[in-house]
Amino acid sequence: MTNNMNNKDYLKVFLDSQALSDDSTELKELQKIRGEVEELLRDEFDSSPTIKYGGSKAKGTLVRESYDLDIICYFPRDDDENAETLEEVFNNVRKALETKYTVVTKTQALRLMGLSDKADFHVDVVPGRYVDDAKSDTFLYRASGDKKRLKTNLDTHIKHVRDSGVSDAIKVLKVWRTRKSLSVRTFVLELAVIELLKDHKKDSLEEQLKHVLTELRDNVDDITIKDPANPDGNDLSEAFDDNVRQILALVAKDTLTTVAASGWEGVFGALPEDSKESRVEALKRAAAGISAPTKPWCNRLV
Amino acid sequence: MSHRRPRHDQAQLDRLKNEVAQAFPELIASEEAGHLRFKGPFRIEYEGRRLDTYEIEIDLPQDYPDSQPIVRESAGRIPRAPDRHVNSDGALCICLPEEYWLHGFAERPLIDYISGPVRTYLLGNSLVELGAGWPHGEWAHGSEGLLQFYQEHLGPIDGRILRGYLDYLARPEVRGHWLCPCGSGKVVRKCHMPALRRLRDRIPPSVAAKSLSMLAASSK
Repeated sequence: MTNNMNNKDYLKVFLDSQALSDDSTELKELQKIRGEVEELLRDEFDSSPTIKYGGSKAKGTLVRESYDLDIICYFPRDDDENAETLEEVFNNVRKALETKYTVVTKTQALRLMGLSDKADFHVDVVPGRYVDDAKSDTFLYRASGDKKRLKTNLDTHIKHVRDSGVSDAIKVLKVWRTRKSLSVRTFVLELAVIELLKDHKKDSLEEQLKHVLTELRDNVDDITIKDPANPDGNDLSEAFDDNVRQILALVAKDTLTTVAASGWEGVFGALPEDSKESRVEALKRAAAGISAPTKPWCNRLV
Repeated sequence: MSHRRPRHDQAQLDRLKNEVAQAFPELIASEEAGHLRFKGPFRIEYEGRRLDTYEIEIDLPQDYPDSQPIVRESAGRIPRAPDRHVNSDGALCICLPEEYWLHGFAERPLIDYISGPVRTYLLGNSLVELGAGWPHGEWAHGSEGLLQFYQEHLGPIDGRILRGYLDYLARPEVRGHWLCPCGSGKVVRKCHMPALRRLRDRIPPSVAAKSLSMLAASSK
């Protein structure tokens, strides 16, 4: 299928192959897990916490090869009944989850283990407490490090990524991160991509990808990223340190060389074979699923 | 039922933008002098699989929802060829105005039109590109297509009889003692009144009048 495909077409089909639609098995599985976790937390804490999707599901950057489930569990500012301190919020949510799951404590999240056969699939529950009654800014507990509290805002994060206008580039580079086993955190990569493409939103996807990779290769030390929800209070320098930057620069250089030599197919491989017959069959099934179809017409001959 | 509506005010435009942003976040709204346009990729997905992607523009005419949104494919993928049902100005001929009204899209949210007829058209085009033909068929161009549509609802009629029906549909009211347009010689109350009523309940007289003009022009 890819023999006659140019780079632009390749990237379009590649992105399509990475899409997870609402009725995909993967998303249904995520919804099922989220439902189970919410039920457990509601049993323990009743209606008090706000429980919803965070992460790529909410940001619209889910890709088939790199998706995790982030569930946020934020308590109202004045809920002293379920926990008095931020640390108690974190620990009480952990205890509730441990009644059903094996839980590993991460810096700000509680990771539920063994929920999927996929080794790189994670379910993280992020406990927190709203700063005020507006239920927007949130304090998260930090289980490690000197600083025990981090102020953040999920809505700002989601809006920053979802409305960035470069979500296709983010999706492709998330797959790139997974395929190259890069240690850079997804959130950090997203921020870097958005920063690098802030003046390149109208470029084609291929131009955007090449720009990001070229900047990573040539100017990685000049890239500054800030948490849009807390630009002064959340120091991301540790997550984007010299080691992370140098690896990104090296892999970006290698990727650009590959693209120059053999196109994006050289980077991401041949696309799954999708014969004309199987496309026709899939489209026909989709057409048969339309309950009240309309038919094309034209009021004059062209 | 009343088929006339005022032009859009800002609250209506905001509601439409919000509605589309929720259901199709990749279709970006722009607004100029009260004219609303949505532009971006439209994905056709089914059974967890993305089947195709089109770059589209949707313009809302001033008299939307009385008139259908004007949809164009903006990447130059769909040729302006008769079998693709594209007007000379690039507007896709998504469906007949009568179908638009019969399915109630003038009364339903814009997103129903996008996920319904627009998706149906684009999905059909993908199949045509692959040589499979329009999955639900297609209307013939111009007045012949109108005739096909009304034949589905009124039985095997010719253009002359259809003009009689359209004349009745275009009137503000139809009296039961009038002669039925089918040519049976019976009064309409004792003949095709139920079918006429079903159509009149949905299709506004202005739409029938326009079709009547097209039919009359084509018969000259």
